[in-house]
Amino acid sequence: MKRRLTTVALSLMPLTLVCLRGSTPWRALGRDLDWTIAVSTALFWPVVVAWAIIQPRTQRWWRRFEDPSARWGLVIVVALHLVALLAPALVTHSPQAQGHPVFDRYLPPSTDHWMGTDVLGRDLYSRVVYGSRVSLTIGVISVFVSLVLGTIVGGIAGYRGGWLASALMRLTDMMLAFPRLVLLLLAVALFSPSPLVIILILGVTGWMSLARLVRGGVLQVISTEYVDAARALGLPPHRILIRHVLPAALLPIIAALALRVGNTILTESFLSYLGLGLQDPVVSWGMLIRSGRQTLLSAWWLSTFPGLAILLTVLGYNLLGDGLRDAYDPRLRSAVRSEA
Amino acid sequence: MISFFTRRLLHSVLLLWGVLTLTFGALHIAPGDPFDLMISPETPPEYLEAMRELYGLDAPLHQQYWRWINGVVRGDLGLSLRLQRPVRDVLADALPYTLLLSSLSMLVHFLVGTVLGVVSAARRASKLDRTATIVSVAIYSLPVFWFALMMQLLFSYLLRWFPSGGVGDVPFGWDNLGPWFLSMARHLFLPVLVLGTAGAASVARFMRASVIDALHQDYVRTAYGKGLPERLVVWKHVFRNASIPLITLVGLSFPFLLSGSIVVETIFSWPGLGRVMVEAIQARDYPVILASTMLTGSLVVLGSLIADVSYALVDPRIRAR
Repeated sequence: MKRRLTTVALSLMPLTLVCLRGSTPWRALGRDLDWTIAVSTALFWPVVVAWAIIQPRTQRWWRRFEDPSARWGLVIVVALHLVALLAPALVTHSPQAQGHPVFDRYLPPSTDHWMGTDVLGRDLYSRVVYGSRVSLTIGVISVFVSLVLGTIVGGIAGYRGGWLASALMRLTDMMLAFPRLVLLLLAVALFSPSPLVIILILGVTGWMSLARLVRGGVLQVISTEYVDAARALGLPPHRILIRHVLPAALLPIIAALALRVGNTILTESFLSYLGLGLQDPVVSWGMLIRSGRQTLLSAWWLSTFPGLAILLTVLGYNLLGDGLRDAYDPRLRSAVRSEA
Repeated sequence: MISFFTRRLLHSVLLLWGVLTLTFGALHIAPGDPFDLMISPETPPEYLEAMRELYGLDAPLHQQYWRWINGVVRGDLGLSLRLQRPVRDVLADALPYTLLLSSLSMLVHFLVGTVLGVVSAARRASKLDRTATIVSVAIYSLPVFWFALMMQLLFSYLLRWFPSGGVGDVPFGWDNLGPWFLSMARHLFLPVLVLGTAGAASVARFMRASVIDALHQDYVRTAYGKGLPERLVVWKHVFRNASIPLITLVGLSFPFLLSGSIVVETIFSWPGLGRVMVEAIQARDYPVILASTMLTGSLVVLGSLIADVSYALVDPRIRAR
């Protein structure tokens, strides 16, 4: 039953891909990002559904969202990902269409332009809606990259021990000690900032805390009886690690992942704000804030609305992460119960 | 204790050397060099060659590395390619501004954060706690640069209470200490407000969790049992025990403060280390990038060293490891 549902969820992937390929305004924005966004938005939903289904049978997945903060976080995150997916249907204007050079510049918010227009008469609301695709994609994929790296490092360090483990953890500490923004600024200035490069750089500079969590989880799991049983059956180590240890060790990390997505979106928007992140014609929220910076007093809406969009997105992910962390920490949960 | 300290110091030096070597490697592996950005298409290639030779950029990589390390050991950080000034002077000008900004912000965020965290943990699930939690999650989710812009819009453009950036033009001197102090305070208000608020939220979150953890200990029950009033239990027993992890947090907040001051300094044009760094990175000013990386790296390493050592002073079990 479980497996069949997972298959159904995974087969949603090509379907969402097809949905996205049909969106015409997006095509003009460059093939590279188009591809990345299609894959990520398409990947996101099946992964979430599959995760919900793979949960242990004793705990229904919705029990995780009893806490109001987790529930609201989930609602916000799901809504924003829907906005990203359905962007072409939600916009009122094309995000790149320029208005009249005199009469359409810097229009304040109105019923026609919900968030006003910019220097070229482009509709800010439509640009913010399309910007959600970029921010969410970069957030989700680069955290995925971090997760893969962190699982490799933390898994090996936790499972093998010995000199390799201590060397890996030293490396983790070294990278963790360094201000991430400095690393990022260096990396972004040195390599031309295409979307893929930004995703990779954010992923490669963000795996350290996840590696520590994975290592902690692995150390906890390998002392359980079922791992001993798997060993006694003579299974090879990589099979034990992948089939028995990692699934249990990774489960509590989902909360940290949600928090990391929020953090990554913040970082990406600051890079774009500095002009070191994504470049035109890609629309990202950080860039929109940057373009409104000069006219802060005369056209306040240009910087305000994209910032609110970032705030809402990151808030959603943080609420979700906080709620999930409480749900996975049995000590905290029992404390809440006993008080209620 | 002494051996613990020296071992930690040795680790720190190795860590710093690793970071610097990585930075050096990354700078030189990446395509292009600083002069690509300074020249126009008409610049004769011979001139470029001469410039590269002058700054030693034509030498093989290992020679450049060796020369640079040699210089660092002797305290010579080289010459800024962009400003044509010794890097040491550039950093020496900027460092006091960053230290001033970040120490004030640190004060704000630990004071506000601790009080908020302890109070909301003690009055758990009350209206105050719920509001504080929501507010701190919201602040935690704020893009700091955008928050800074909005504060600028509100306080310096609309209300005109505070200047929008810079440090003012009142020179420091013993005879005009009053005006200098006033101008500094006015210019510092918004940057410290932004950086301090951003940090206070995470300290409050951390403190709340730590205090809730401590509230479930046996000695708390004993303290209540012997009839101590709640205020005394919370501030004398719980807070003291819950604030031990705070020592680590102070040491580990250095990276946050440095990253934060990069953001805040860029927006409020505060002439500190963060701005020097961003400008150097944009102009590919190798010597300044390397030296400021070294400086921030040392500050961070120093922070974690202080955290480790003071933790070891408080808790003898750690020394044994």
